[in-house]
Amino acid sequence: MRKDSFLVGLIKWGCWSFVAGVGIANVLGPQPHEFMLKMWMLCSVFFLLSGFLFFAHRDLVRYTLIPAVIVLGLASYQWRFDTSNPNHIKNFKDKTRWASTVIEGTIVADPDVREWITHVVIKPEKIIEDPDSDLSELRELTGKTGYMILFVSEGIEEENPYYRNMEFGDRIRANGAVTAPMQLTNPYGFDYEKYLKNRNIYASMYVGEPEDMEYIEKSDLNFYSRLKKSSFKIKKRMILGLKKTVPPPASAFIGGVTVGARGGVPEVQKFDFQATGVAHVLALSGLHVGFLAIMLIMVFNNFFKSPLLFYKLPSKIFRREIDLTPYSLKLIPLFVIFVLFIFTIITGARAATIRAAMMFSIGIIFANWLGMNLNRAGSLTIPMAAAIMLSANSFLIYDASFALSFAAVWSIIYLSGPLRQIFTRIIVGWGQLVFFIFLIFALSVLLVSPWLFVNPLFNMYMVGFFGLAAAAAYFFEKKFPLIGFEFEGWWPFITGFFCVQLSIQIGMMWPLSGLYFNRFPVAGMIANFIAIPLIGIIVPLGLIGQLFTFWPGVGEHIGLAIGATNNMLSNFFLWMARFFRTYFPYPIQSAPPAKWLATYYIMVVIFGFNRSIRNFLSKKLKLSKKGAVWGVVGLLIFIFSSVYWAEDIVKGKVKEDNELLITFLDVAYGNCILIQTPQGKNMLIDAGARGDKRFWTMGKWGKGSSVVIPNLSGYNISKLDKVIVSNPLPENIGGMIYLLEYFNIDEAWDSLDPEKFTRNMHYRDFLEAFNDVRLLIRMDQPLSIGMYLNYYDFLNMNLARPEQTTKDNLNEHIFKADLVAHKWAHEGTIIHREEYDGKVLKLEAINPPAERFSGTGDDILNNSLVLKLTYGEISFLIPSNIQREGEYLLVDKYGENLKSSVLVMPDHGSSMASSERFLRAVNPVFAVAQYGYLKGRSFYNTELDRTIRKYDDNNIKTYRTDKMGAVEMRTDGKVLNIDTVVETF
Amino acid sequence: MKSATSKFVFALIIGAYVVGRIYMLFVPTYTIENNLELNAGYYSSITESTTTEKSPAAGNGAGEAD
Repeated sequence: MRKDSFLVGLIKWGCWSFVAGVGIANVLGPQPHEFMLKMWMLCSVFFLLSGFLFFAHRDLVRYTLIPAVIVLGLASYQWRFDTSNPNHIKNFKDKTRWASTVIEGTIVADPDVREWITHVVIKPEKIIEDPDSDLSELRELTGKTGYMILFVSEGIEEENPYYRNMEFGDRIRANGAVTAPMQLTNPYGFDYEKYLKNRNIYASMYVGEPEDMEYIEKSDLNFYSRLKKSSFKIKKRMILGLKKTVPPPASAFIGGVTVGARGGVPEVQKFDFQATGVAHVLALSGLHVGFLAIMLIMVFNNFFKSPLLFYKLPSKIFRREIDLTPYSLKLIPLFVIFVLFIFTIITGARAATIRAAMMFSIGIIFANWLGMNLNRAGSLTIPMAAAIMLSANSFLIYDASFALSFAAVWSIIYLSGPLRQIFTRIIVGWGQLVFFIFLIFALSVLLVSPWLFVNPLFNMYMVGFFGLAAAAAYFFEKKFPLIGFEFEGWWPFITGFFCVQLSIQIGMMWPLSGLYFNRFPVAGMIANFIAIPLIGIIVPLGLIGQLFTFWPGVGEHIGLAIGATNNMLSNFFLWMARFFRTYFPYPIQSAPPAKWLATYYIMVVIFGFNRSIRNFLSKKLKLSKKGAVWGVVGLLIFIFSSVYWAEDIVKGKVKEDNELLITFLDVAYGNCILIQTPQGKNMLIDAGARGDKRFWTMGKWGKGSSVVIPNLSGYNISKLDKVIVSNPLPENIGGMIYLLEYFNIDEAWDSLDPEKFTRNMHYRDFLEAFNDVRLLIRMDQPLSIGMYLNYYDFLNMNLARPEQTTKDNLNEHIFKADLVAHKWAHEGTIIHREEYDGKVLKLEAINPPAERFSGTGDDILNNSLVLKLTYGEISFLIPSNIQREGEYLLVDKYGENLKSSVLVMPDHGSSMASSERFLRAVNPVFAVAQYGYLKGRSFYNTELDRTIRKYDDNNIKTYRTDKMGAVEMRTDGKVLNIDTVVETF
Repeated sequence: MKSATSKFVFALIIGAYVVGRIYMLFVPTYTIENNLELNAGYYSSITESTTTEKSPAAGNGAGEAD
């Protein structure tokens, strides 16, 4: 046993070191060859030393093996990152989006069919760089080329029937521009380029014309690919069986959770699941593989133990009693692993499923063959599976699902035990009563108003009450102990499940859901109590029902009956998700800063390993048992308190106290400016577009959720004091709708009179109220319809008259927290004013007049809210989308007073604005263009280039968000510092 | 694993079958043919609804430059 645990320890430490090596390499980034050479030498020395020590001085092996393996991890990352091959696809990028390159390659993954586009990942094999030129030649791409992603438009479907038949393993030819994937660059938020690199994808191509894509042949498939293809056939059969036995929508749901057919699950349903915190049931992962493994073990156990087959049979043959049970039991893992393997392939061999199958396989082998208990086997499983997966792809370390599932499994193994101890030893009797009452209370508060938890006063009350109640419970327990009210006394399944759930929440959901999703599903804690056991019945029943249909006739009818039950259960599941989604909030949760996360996890690890720490304290430091407990508690309190005494270190500082920070976010074509004032007020002017029209109802991928929220959370902003909409154009107001629904906002300002624009307006009245005659003529044009729908939703999203939304006292706050005061800004309105250190900060509207313009070239644009922000000697002019006419009117009215240090280019730099007269009057030193190409809405790049030349001629330095990413401007009222996210100098 | 727990899977199948049969007694339209038909209609309705749910202009007023 001793020897055994030595080896196990070595494997465990070795795997963790490898993971650490990859982690360090990720932080260091790519290194030059000389550095790696030295590292390799170091690595070999350490390995040799380890080999020597293994025989000579075994106890010391780990000290040499750990650095050796860390270097190995580093090297594996370097090897993976190596893109030095001259044939690498990243070397063939075209300069313009209308260039042409012909690529031949093999499809390496199942095409990802979306609603209007299909993503196809290919491995490039041949390239013709400039097919139109006479000098063009075909070039073979050999070696490590990286992958390329094709965005194939659904538009080609009609004339190119291959669109519907694209398949894994096909060799195809595509024609288009090889470009870097389009992406927005902001200080914080989703990095699409990195996401693709994690998948070895370095270039992209948009295929929009039918003749740009062509099928060549099936490529020679290797064994694995052939296995994959045949298992897809089984999958098709299973889905057919499902369609026979279960009606929709349950069939789509069961198809998703059993064989990973997600196409049929509508977006709205997926959103229900996300908001309820049970989305993990849709992503085939550990849970499903776990259920399958347990079911298989149960079935095989029965099978192998059945006396007929394995016990009695040999005794009949050999006429002797031979107990084969122990041997046959050893075979179970092999069978289970084989079935898990097939299941993984059937479900499309996704990373999550592979990982889960691998972890279960390793765990089962160790538990069954080496006779380890499940916890010890589990503690080995995590580092081993992580090391194996990272050695295959070291970029995975930043992958959300990788991190989340490992965090979840880690928490189950290391936290549920200590948690159980707390509930059986410390929180007992009266304490338990107090704990659960508080739990219910906290959940109720979350239900009514999640924002309360942001309020420091409320939190102080909560901590105070909880402390008093806990003290009272302690006193009562001493005097009148509550006998019979013990956690252990409950049904063991429920208590175990509760601890597992709580440990997942502590180890994964609380810290990480904010980091990866910026949202926190409050319902998750309760919903999972019902969802997980339920899915544990739905999944096996679904699989069994589908398998029965393989047997025509009788089997189909048995399958149908099982399907009927499963249909009821699934419908209940769907109803439950809808219920929780409707009645529980799904609030925005800021991404915790890295240092805060580190602090949190140090505490979690101390808690998880508290027994070892206590042992260490009492044995090595000779502390008494009680002293050791207090030692751990003291350590926890010390680290927790660092949030207060080392706030800047833990939280990370975004800006100096006396600073005004303005961020011009990159939202492609659209306005979006974030203002953080010296006094700590946060204001947002516009929020970009709403997102793809297909996701209209949810605003998925809209700039509100994809850009604004991650950046707010990056800047540690949990509340917007004011949001301002400069005009109702979809690319300005769209993102605001998402924010109003899910973010904590105090006031919403726009240039339209709240009295005139009300909820539930008639379409025609609405267009009339804009005071623009042309809108009524163009009623059925995309712009007017888009504007109507966006503004209509904006109004219906919690906006209320200012007098309805006073949040002065706690009581009002609780019940009216969701209402946002709707205010009207026009010429002369001072939207914000504050003083800091004797300097005045003022945000004032200078356009439109209270009586809106009518009869100009474009009234909608010329009636945009024009804002002037002044702080000390520095000023910013933010003219939104006004046109030349509007500019002239402003110059006539304000003249010299328009002068500003920074000008945001009116109308994103279009040729219809930025007139010479206006530029001379404003006379800025710097100008910013918030530009990006948006199909159908924006003008072309060349037009912006012309405008920028005009600024150059006037000696104005320009910044553009499409090339430089977001622009950050900081000022103390005297000096202005400008930073861009993409380095340009 | 105790053999008592392993019987759970079989109990589940039989239980589900019995409950399903009873359900089918009350809902005679629950047949393979009907299910196939409903499913066919459902999947096409999903793909159709994405193009007709709202006016094509709904999203960002995408369509034509203004």
